[in-house]
Amino acid sequence: MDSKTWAVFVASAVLKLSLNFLFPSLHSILGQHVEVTTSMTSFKQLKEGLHLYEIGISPYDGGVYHQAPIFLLLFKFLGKFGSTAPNSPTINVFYVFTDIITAYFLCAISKSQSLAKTNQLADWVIASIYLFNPLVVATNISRSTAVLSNAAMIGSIAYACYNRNILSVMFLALASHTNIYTVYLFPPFLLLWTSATGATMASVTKYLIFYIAMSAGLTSIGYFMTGSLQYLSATYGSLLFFKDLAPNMGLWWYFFMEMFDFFRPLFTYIFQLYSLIYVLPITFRLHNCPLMAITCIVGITTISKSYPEVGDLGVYISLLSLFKFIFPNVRYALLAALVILHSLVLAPNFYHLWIYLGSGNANFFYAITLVYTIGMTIIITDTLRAALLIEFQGTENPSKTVIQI
Amino acid sequence: MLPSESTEAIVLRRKVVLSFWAVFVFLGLPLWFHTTTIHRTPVPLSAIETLDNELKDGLGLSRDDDPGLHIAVGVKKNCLYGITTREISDELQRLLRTEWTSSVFSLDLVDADECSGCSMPKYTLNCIGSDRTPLPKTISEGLEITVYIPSNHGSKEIIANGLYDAFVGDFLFFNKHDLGSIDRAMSPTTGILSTMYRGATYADAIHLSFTLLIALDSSGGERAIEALSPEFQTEWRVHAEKVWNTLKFGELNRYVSSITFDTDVGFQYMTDGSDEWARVEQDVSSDKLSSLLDTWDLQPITLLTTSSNSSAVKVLQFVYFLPPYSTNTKSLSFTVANWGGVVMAGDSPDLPAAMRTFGRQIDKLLSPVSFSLANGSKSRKTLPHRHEFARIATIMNLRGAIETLSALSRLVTSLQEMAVPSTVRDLVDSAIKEWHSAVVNLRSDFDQVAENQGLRHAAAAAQFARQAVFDKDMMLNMFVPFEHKIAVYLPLLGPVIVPLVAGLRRVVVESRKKEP
Repeated sequence: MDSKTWAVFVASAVLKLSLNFLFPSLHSILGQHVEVTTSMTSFKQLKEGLHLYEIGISPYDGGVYHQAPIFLLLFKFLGKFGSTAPNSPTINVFYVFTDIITAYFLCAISKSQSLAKTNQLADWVIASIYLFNPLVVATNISRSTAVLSNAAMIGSIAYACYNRNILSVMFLALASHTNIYTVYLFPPFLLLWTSATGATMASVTKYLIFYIAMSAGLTSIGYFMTGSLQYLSATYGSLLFFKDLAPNMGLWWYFFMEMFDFFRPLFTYIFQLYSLIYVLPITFRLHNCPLMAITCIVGITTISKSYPEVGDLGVYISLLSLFKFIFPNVRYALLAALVILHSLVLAPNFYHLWIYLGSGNANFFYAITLVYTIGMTIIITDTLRAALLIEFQGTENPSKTVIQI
Repeated sequence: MLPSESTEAIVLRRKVVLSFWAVFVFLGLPLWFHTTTIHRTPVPLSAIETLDNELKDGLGLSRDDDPGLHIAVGVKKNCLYGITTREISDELQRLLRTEWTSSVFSLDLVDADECSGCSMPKYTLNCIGSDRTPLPKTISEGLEITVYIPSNHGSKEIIANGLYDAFVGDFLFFNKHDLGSIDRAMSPTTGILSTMYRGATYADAIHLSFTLLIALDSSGGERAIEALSPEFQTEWRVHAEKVWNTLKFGELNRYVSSITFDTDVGFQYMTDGSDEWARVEQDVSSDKLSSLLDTWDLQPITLLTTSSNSSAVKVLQFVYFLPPYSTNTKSLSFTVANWGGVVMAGDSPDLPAAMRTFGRQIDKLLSPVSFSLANGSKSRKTLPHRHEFARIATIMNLRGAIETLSALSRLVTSLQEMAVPSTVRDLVDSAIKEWHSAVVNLRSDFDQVAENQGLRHAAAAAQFARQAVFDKDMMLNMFVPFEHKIAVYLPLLGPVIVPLVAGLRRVVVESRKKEP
């Protein structure tokens, strides 16, 4: 890492620590915004779960805590070094450190063999895109546990890019344990893991078994902590079956507010299938560039998951920054940026109008989430198109030009 | 002209399209069928029809066991004022021909003076006109009901040994002028049998809520100040507890497993005492009781049912209302069916009198039948021949249960697209089981334990039947006809199907091009 990159790390740490110091209630304000955190990643609910766990009550009994049990162990451990209040020095440093680690992993990915032959942004630029992204900063200050899940996922990518496959599998299992949608990344990760040795049945089986074993191990931690596997219903069940009907930046909640109970199971399965159905086709189509496949799937799950947050967009944009070579072929960057900006500015306003002032209604907020989804869709399709175009031009005669018809 | 594609690209596209289809076919379609299939658990419709027929056939009960009020009376001529027993019988049969009374009540009249060689009925109705003859304090043991009628045909005095006998006499005293009273007596909403019908709403436990409602106004009336004092409120609670203690050790205890109560003091603020009070008076006089209750914001509490069994708690509210300022208005009281009773204080609060009124209201609301027997100046209350009325209440509940189950049967048969969850089947089975238990009880020798159990089983059967008909999962799915499902599936799946089909078509076309 060059000095500029370290300077970016330090500057981001100073920024976040200053924000926490100068505006002590900022974490609480951001923590209440449904765009930034959801019931599946809220720090406030984590604290409640931690308190219940410490006094010997199962945190999954009350229907408040929906996060992985490993977070309880982690924050209980952190509690030994100081208070686990959201604005305490321990938590401040921990979250800042997590974000810096994530940025470090991103820089490492950009210098890996997977992207060696492509034109890359400078490390400090990649780190800045992640660390100074307002969406990522807001997610970090709100103390959303998505920060930790994203760190594990990007760490898994980084280790896979350097052929440290066992560590990569471990981090992927950890990321899946904390955010089940990360399971969708398993097929493109298989391509990454087997890129050096080739995708044989033996190697695929090996990584599959190891992944399942790691996941089982993490699940068993939850079993020993709570005494039963009932927590799976509160964690993965809530996420997959959308049990906590709360507004967020996603597309689900409005449907489920309005529909008859008869159609609820159908819609739940259809909506989950909608994000699953793209995994294999994208993996097949982008088998030459598994990193791009991973990025695409991350983008698709960002718009199709049950409880999305704006931090997911921040991570997606940071992953996109690794593919500088596609930027010249992206056609609708300005349009997508304006649409996203428009939706991010209006979303909190419309939510405030609806919930606090009572002069709006759910349609206001849902319309903006639709606009946000349109913006994301433009980005995903445009970058995918750009990547496929690069692939076509790269494999075919370079003098060929593609004529838009 | 488009550039030709390499074989590798074509194979890759085929894999992509087929992977989409693989998820759609192997995951999507099965899930779609699983989540949209209408699950209809078979309901024992034939068993319900069997119960219906059983009820129509009299539940296999012999004449002696037949639960109902069956009265045979020998009528002496001095009770027939220009009307024959035959005419009375016909009139009463006409009045009796209501669906719910016909199974529980029958009346045989015999001309007592002309009954030679016939078996005299249990009761004989003997009418004596008297203005000056002092009423006897007691009558001899026997089954003669003597009715004293003033010559001006004013209020009659009925002297009988027991309340049941008095009821019979009261019920049976008739002449042409009294046919209207018989009509009223037989009315399902206001008559004697209506109180029996109210008693049929069986509850295993009863909760009485006494509320002292004090009206406050801006003038700060003396009455309110007095009522706000801790001493008055303590006195209120003491008197309420006395009523409760009486009930706890009284006859009512034989009906229910527990009686509980609570006392409360509430306030109603009236911005302008005179207008508000005038409205209250107007509501009372015009019988706009519901608006009065809404004004007081005392929620009507219906039967609460626990989910674990069919036991229910009947909650009744009793309000003692102190108007904002003294008036010459006498104390008023009224009862509200399925709600409770109200006593409105007159010139000065009289808690003992209010509690006595509450006691009478409780009797009226809860007891299957209660009558006051005038014996000189004293009134005496007991519950006469309770087992007949318990049995009547039992059969009324069974009738309610079978009507509800028959309605469910028709609903399930006519709406083939309505889902029938397994909970409905379980509730119907439970209702049928409770039905059989109640009928077994009806056929057995009755005693206090048996009559309560029979009534409990019958009420449980009625409750289970109601829960089955109004099952949440079934009712919610009633209003999703097939056309609506098309309207939902098309926009949901249409945009997905179109590119899938287009992709598959291209794969098929390409593979066919290669074949030659």
